[in-house]
Amino acid sequence: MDVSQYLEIFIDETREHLQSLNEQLLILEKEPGNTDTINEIFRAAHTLKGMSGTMGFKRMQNLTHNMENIFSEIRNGKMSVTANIVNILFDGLDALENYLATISNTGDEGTEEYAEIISQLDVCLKQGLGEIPAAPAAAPVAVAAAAEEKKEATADNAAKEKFRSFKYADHEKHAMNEAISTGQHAYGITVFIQETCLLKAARAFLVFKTLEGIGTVIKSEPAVQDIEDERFEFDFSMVLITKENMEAVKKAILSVSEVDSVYMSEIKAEEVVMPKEETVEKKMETTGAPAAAAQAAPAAQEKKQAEKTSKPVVNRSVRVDIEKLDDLMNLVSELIIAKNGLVSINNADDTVKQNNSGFNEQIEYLERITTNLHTSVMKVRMVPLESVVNRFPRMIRDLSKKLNKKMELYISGEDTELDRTVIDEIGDPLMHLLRNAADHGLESDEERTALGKPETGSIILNAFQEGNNVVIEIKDDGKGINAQKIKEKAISKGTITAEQGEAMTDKEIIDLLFRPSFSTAEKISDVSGRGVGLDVVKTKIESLGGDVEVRTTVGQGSNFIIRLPLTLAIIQSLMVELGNEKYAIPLGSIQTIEDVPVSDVKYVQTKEVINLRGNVIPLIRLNEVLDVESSKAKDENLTVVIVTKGDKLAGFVVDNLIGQQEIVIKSIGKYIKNSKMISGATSLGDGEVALILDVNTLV
Amino acid sequence: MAENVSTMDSKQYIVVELGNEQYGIDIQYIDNIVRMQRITRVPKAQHYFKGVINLRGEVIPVMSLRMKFDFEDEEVTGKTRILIIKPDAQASVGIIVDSVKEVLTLENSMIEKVAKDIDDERAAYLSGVGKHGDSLISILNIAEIFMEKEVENA
Repeated sequence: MDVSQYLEIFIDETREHLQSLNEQLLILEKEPGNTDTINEIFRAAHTLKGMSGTMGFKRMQNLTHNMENIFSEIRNGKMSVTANIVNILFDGLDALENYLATISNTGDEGTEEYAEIISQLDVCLKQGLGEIPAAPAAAPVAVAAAAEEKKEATADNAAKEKFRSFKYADHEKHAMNEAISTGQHAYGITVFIQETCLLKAARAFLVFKTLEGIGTVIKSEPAVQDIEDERFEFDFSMVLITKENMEAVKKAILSVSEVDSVYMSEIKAEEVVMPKEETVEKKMETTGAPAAAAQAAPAAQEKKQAEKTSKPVVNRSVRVDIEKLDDLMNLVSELIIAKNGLVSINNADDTVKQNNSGFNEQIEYLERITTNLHTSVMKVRMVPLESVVNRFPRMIRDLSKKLNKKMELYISGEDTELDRTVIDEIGDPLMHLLRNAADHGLESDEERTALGKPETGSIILNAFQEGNNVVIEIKDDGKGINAQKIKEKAISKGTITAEQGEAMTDKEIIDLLFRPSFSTAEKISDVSGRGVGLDVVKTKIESLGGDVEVRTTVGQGSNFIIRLPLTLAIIQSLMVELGNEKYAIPLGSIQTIEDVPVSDVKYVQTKEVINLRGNVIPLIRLNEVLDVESSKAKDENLTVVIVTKGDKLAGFVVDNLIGQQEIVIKSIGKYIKNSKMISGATSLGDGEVALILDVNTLV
Repeated sequence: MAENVSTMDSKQYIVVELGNEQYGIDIQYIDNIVRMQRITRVPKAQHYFKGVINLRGEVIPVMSLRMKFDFEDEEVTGKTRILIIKPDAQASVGIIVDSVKEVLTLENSMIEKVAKDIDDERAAYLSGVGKHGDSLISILNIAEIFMEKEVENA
């Protein structure tokens, strides 16, 4: 079977399962007796094993299989959860993640065997089992072994005949016996539907319909209602009573398209009686040793139950190809351009406007549609931050072990949504900041106790929406950043001179942390402190159109605040004129617009500034920066657009204001290099191109 | 007929004119040929980039081939054209030429390699010189023209 077309789905789903395993394992570490968690883990591991087996990733399957064995024993209560086991299991998960990374890069699992982890798992398994005498529960062991056997679904045909685990009700047995005695055949049938099949329920229905034509289906698993509602994986089993022989039935089923394979065998009269006894046996056990019986419940039933409970756990998501979304986005973009075209006609010609009173109405209507369309498309692109932050608790746990510091991560606001493109990029910067907080921010346990702080340090990750921005804060209650120490370091490294250091405010000094190759950690650990952290964080966030700032109090902790734009594709902007060129300034970074008399311009260190309501704001003459001839006379009042970058202000001097406009951001391509002053371009209603100024680089 | 068939040994080229010289561009790179239109200047860009144009909603940077080759700046006439070129699948870029002359099939054997030791930096942008009748056509190396941008910046 060619499986390459499923690779993408496999990678996505494996990632989800690994994530869920990580989360559940963390819970299990804290609450070793939590049966729900154990079941959840087992289910995820089992699915993972099956999937990797189907895809032909044998090494991955082997590793998962070994891990699953442990989960299985834990679930059966024959092993207890110890710190050692959890550690090895986490190692195993990491190895699986490595496999996944290799697969998503190369399409192949690579050749790494992780033999060490497997042997550790094996040792664990043996130790765990050795401690418990095997004698008292011979029956459950046998059943467990049978269940185990069933799990080897990949190779063994018998295991695929799931109908073998049917438990028959009295009337069903009666019907079968009767049929057999009248010379008909009772067949147990398990049908596997191709995994690419989109309408599983419809295929299953066709199978049923075909079978109803040649005999009577007396039992099915899952129930007919569940099958109709598509509540089954890719297989379903049933018992058919018919006069036809086995081959004919098989042929009939295979005639239904998208049926992958059929496993069937005849049910003999004695077999029908057999399960009855087994059931009775189990009932006795139930009364005798409730715990043991609960574990020994037949795998099929458990699986069914599992499917029911697992439904709500899985995130109901639609995977949409990002390319398709981009196309949709482009359509919307064009719609907006069309609207802008109408607007410009409207502005241009007053007589036309008077002649068509409905014209304005049309524009308003069009505007309403485009705005709505924009919002709804944006919503499709939005992904909750959760998908990024849910891997952090695990990371902090590992860091806590590695650094030997007690710490706890509190996450809030993980349902805050961000554009998909931002979500994909934001993970690494956040991870850097969390590592920093854990390594540099928090003191050691002893220091904390000595300072009278709670021994366990807290790291808080909080996200919320603020206007058109999303703010993500990473706070710790550690020692904070010592500006004096940074200043000394910066001077000794030659980043700044001593005089410069004197003139700088604490805030400016702390901003030095974001310069490349600047790490204050005295000892370099493998967690952080290689001096590549913060400047990478800053560059990345700025490339996403956001910014990052630090607030810190020595002794009380630091707070890194990341601000990101909600959307990247369409923004509100202020159109300004410089000479005869038009530029767009994103509205998000504009604070006010001021009319300033030339006489109010003061000079500080030969730089032009204005004093605006007590704030000294540097002026940036855009026409000089952008090499445009100003159209204004020297003594005219200056039109100053006050922009913000974090809490830094600057005034852009422009010639004219044109007005506010919704613009679609287009890239100007990779071939033009212009020191990043232009963040993109947009086409205006009349087909002209206006450039979008990048406030962050200009300020 | 043979001239229209592009076989293993021959390629089709679009022949353009800069002043009185002829240049050939491999037709597979060419996405579109448009008339000269309004160009929005991009400040602080490389000098040979005239700016960006709006081509059906897409913003495309446009370079002047003349300025890239250190010729004098072009005069825009009715024959001036912008060739929209796709050096790779994701990015388009326009080049301004004086005029587009014809489409020509040249056999590989008719193209002579340019000696690299020629003391002319333009030689780097050429992949060869083709002969057609009694005229010579310099074949542009598109990849080279757009790739050496890193050096330019340093």
